[in-house]
Amino acid sequence: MTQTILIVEDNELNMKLFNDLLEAHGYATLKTSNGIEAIELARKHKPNLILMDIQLPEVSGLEVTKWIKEDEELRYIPIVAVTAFAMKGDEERIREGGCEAYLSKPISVAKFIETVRTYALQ
Amino acid sequence: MTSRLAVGLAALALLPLYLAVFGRLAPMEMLVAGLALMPLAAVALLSATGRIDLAHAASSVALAGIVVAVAVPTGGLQSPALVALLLVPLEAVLSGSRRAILATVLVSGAALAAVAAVDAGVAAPASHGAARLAGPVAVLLVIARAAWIGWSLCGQADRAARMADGRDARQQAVLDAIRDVVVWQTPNGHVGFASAAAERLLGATPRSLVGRGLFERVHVADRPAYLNALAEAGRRPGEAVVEVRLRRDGAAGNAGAPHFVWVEMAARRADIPGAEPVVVSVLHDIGERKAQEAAAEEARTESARAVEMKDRFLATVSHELRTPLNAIIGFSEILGGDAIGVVDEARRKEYAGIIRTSGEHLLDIVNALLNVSKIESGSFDITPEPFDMRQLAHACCDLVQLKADGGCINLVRDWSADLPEVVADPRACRQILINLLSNALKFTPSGGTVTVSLRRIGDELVMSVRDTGIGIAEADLGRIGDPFFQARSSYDRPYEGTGLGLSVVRGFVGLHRGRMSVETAPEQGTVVTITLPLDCRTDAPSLAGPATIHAIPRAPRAGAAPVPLKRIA
Repeated sequence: MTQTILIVEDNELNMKLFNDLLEAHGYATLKTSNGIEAIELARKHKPNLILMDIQLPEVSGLEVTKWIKEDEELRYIPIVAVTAFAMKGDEERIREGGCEAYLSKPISVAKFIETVRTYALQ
Repeated sequence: MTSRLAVGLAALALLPLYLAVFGRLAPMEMLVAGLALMPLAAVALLSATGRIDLAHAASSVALAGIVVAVAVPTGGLQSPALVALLLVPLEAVLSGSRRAILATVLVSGAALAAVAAVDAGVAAPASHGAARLAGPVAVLLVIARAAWIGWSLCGQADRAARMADGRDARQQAVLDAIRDVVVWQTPNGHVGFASAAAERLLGATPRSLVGRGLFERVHVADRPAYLNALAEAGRRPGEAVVEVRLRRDGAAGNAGAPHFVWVEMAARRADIPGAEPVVVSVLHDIGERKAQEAAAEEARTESARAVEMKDRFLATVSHELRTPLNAIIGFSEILGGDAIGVVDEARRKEYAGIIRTSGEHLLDIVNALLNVSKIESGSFDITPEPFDMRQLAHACCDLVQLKADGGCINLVRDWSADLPEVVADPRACRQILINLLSNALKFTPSGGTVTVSLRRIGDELVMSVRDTGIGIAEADLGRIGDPFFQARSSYDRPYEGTGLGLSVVRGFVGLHRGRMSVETAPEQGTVVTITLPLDCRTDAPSLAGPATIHAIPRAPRAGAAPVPLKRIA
């Protein structure tokens, strides 16, 4: 069965990169640049994994992660942060925020795919 | 003094009663009543002038007057009332002042003489002369004796005080030579002696510190610590040290607010056998040290701010560089390897295009960084040349028109046909307009309007970019245009951007000797207005720093939801 990945990313070029990589590896994708919409999509489609950008307009990715992890219905969905916040301490803070995994931009394609494979629910 | 005040008040109270009973006052009675009221006048004198010696003298004269007035009709020199004259110097003895004793002796002597003179004029001297004189002589002798006792008591007290103070000439010279103020006081802060350095430290005579004088100079906030230290020094051997502010008289203190100096007081108990407990304290001026401490603290704060700024800058730049790099590296990997297998021709072109766009975005960031850095260091030069600002504005608007259309934002170009040529740096002007337009579009929700207008006012060109966007909170208004400033620097930064846009604008406007103002309120949009001279060659622009941003917060619209943090990039 096709696994669905929800991509939350506000930069359209990076969105295209992630989308094309995932599709090429046989995943179905859901796309949004908005955190509120991300929660609605998650509730509706129950994706196997969420790729979460942290800097988003209006509501930050960390905030969205917190809401998802507080939601009984959604908390089981693994969240992988994919962010350009890559300074010292950023990974710790983002993991503490509830993300299962952390990838810094620029990504390595191999590691990206491997991480998705590892965390996406069967 | 108090007793006579009571007499005065009693006289005042009894006067109506007396008048009721006897109907009127005889001249002598009037005089007595008047004199009895004099202590009241003395009190008034005291409260008006603050001179207790004057008040005391007035009061003594009044008492002597009463005695004379009573003695004359009741037997002159033989009158028993004369004994009351003793009270005059006796009170002075209690006051402990030799001057007062001398004055009162003279006053009572004069009173006695006055009675004698009246007596001599009224009664013919008879054989009883010697007997008549016995009474007054006795009174005179008693007065003299009382004065003498008082005089020597004062002397003893003075000597005792001197001994207690340790003030012989040599010791006094040593004390006066010390640049710190040496104070001799009780553990509850009552000063007995202060050394000459008080003049230098506090601009006050040592004598004025005696009693409560010093305590009253201690800053109200420091008084508990001051008294605590004295009490502690009085309780146990060893030194108690406290830093307090003392009021200083003199030039600096004249301008309204009192001037305080920081002083370190080292207090130590002096154990003198048989004497009351005494604390010797040394007051040392620490104003310079305190100033240095304050300067060091300020430098620390400043450097902490600089470090924070640097960290924020690094984090921002790192984030902004990584975002396009992600697309560049990711798509290159796809094109060059087998990440997604074979890529068809159309995709290959598309990916190459994305890589190029991202590379150009990266270049923009690098250029903005370099520009800001050059402007900040003063090494950026503009090259003014004549050009048509309308054309340039059209070009800039064309450049962002697509973005505006994509965001459903109405872009209005508003300028008149009679705009003259300007002499400025076209590259800089282009950057100014593009940066302002990008900001306006970035922070304006769809359905909004962005208006670019150009006007000539006198010898100046006024460019403004007005939007109907989110506005800027008043708290952030003071910092916009600072390089890399972002009200939200962390993960919840809602808009991308380096925070360099306005900073570059500000720098360019400064180089053109122009002015810049930002008028805004949360949820009410923003108007950025740039005013440039029509000919920027007239000045030496390379010497100019970044323009000052004149921030104009608008009153928030009633009912508008407050937006605590907004940024502009």
